[in-house]
Amino acid sequence: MERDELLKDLTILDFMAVDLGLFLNTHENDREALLTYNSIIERADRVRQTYEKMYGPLCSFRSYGGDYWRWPEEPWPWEEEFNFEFSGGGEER
Amino acid sequence: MDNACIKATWHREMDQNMQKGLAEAYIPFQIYDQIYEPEVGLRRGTIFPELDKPYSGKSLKLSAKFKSIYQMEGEE
Repeated sequence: MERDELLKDLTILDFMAVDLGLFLNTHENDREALLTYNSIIERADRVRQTYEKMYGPLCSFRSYGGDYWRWPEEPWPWEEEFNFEFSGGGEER
Repeated sequence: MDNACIKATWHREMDQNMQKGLAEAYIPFQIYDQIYEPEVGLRRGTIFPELDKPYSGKSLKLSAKFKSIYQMEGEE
């Protein structure tokens, strides 16, 4: 899988987790939401591990180190060329 | 009872029970229902279709009564 593909999938899954987390803050016993939340976290973890194995750490801490320490490699996640193109976004309904 | 059914029942009860006085407000309690497909959620900025309300600069639902009271013109 392409780097951009993986990054996009991860961004989407992390966003879903954040939004479901907000919902769960006020619905702590909602089983359906919890199941969905947990399955998304699982999927996000898998994608994150795949990404980091192939392309290096996404965070300066809590990411696994591979054969050597890749964090100093550029681009860093906040740099424009790091991020994927999300074409056709932002249009109104 | 599925979530859509719970939702309908819940909102009906809410409407009956929530007779608020002046200056008392409440926000309806969200019930978990359908969520957007993953990529759509990121595009829309929420995974909940019922919360997908882009800012338009005006209220989505202004009643005719409200509009006549405030003599608003040119509003949808």
